[in-house]
Amino acid sequence: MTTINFAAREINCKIVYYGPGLSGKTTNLKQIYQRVAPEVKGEMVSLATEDERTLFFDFLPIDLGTVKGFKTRFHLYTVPGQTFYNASRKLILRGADGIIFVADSAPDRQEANRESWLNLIDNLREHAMKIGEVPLVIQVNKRDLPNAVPIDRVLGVIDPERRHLHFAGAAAQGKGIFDPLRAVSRLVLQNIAKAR
Amino acid sequence: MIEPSVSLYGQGLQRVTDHLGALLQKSHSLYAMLIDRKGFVLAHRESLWAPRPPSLDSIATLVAGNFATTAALARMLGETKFTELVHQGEKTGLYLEEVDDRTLLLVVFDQSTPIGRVKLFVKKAVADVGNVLRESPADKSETDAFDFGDDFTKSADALLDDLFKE
Repeated sequence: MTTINFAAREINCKIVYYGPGLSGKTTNLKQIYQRVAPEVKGEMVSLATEDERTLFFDFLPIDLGTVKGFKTRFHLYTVPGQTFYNASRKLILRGADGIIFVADSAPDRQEANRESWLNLIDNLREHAMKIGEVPLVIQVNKRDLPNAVPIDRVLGVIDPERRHLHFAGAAAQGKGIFDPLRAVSRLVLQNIAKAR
Repeated sequence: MIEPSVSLYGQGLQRVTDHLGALLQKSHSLYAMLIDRKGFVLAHRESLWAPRPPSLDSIATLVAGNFATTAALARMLGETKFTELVHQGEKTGLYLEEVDDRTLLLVVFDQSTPIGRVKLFVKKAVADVGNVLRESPADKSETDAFDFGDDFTKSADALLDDLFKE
């Protein structure tokens, strides 16, 4: 849940990048870290294995700026995508205000997309949340692959009813990394207004 | 039960900062922080003589993750929770204790301070801070006066467009 500190005039929001292993969650964060202005970003923390697979999470704080006198910050997290680390994913998902689901466009990763999406639904349920109740957007990543599956087919596996905004991305090249982040951030901040 | 999307902390947080200052003085520690379980810093104090701390955001995030991990372990072992955590290195130590179901209190100390001293004064500080948080929910008149309506979202949208541009 969004934390509003009236005494310190701060609003802090948590956004989580979710998705199957190697879909590009950490790549998204690294690219964002490289491309945003130095004065708005904090230190990026990555808890990873020796072969650079996320072990627990990546974390990056970003300052949006002051909105109506409130310093507004986003804390971006990624979860470990490998199936084995579900306990860690549950912990990181706790208190998420917004989610970006990073789907893989590789032909042999569509089943992994589906499993990760179902896993997200399960883990949200454990936190008494439903997928339609949390701001969520989808990044269909790796559009730069020569054999990338058509976007409609990727979405057909995870969001057949097209309930969520989706964006094309090629995070390894820094493309399409800001559109989903901007969209989910907007939804999160709109939620603050509605909750009040 | 669905969690509310907004969590409010009120003016009492100022009093919390005073308690953190008193804790540092009595325990002779370097830094003290009140941390939201999601990993946000709610209040912090540093001793005047302490070196500049590393990134407080990063510390808070890692500590919250650490606490959440050990809480999961505790449940697997049949415990309700582990309420305190200690980490000690050659020169520096961390002591972390749960204040309530939303917040944690972290103290960083060096080798000049015995851990027993830190624990003693942290336990008192946890009680004092817990009382403040219970007695001082956000002043409704203050929070109601704030308009999170259209102006807020329009201002935020403009900043988002500027910050996250390709």
